[in-house]
Amino acid sequence: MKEPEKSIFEERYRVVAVESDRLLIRGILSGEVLTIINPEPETPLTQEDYPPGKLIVLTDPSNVPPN
Amino acid sequence: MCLQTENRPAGASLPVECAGGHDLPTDASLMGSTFTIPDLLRSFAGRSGIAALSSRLIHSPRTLRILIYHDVPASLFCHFESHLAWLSQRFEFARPDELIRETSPGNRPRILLTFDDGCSDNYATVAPLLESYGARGLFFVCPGFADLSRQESLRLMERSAAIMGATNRDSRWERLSRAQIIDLDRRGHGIGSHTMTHVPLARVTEDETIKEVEECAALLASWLEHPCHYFAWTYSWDEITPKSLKLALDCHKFCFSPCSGLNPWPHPPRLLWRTAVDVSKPLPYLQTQISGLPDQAYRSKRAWLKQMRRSVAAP
Repeated sequence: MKEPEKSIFEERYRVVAVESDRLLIRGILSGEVLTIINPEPETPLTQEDYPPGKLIVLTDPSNVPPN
Repeated sequence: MCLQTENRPAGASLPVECAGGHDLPTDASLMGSTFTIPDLLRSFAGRSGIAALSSRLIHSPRTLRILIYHDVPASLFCHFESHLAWLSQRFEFARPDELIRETSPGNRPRILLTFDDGCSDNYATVAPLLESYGARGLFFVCPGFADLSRQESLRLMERSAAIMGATNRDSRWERLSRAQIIDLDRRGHGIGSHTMTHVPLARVTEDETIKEVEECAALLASWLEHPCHYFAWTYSWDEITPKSLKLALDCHKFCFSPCSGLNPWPHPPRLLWRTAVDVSKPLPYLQTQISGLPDQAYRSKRAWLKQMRRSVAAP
């Protein structure tokens, strides 16, 4: 059964794999796979911070209040 | 785009105490269970002693009986206690890791208890009780459910039921967390894959099968910090295809079927037979389940699976 269309910010994701410059994640309900490019290459992503299977949510940057 | 992480604490509670200890209620009406004619026949075979006699005749120190349990709710914990008490008098509990290392036959027939679906009571009550008997269980978990909220868990279950063409009636949304799975492994219990999100492998695409079997094995290996050696497919004995069986055998040492039969010991084959047990039914039902009668009913099904096994993989 096809899930209704949802925004990527409405779902949680599991970490599938991590490299220093990108994160591969899969939606827990949609199964959709996303690749997140590290916006701060000077701070590499690590297995310790993002172990496989960890649940994460994506935050819409347009909703983040400015500093 | 920002990333946020979420963590939930792992909780554990003590086993539920039941009035009457190992005594088993014998009145079906007291237990709130629905009994069918086959149930009554099983009960007769159990109560008459036929099942116990048959069980003694077919099991030996060179056999391994594997049972399938699922969740053990608090209201049925007394039943489960009585099962363990009875089994401990007649069998030697096999540890999951004995399957992967050289071992020798003991004085009594071996029995291995497996628990499908990774329900949270497996951690809170089942594992401590097993440990009190010096036994260890083999828990087949679906890591895609770990740490999900009630709503998320139920939606995943609905999806799985929809693939089967059914409506989800399963309310057991609370599953083992990542921390609980790791802790069970550290305590000597076995952790096996029951697919990532409990899908029927015979009804999903090849890509889905890879995610459900291969990625699941990799995820569990990363959590446990060692390979996941055990796999059990979901639903019924025929919800498997040659391709998915091959993939499961490529990713794991042992593949457990929901098909009743007796396994040789101490050198079991890679495709293993398991006998389903309904913990809501009284002890005579269990005695009949392991009497060999269900094994006869599954004879042609085992032949079908053996043929599939031979067609797909190296020994």
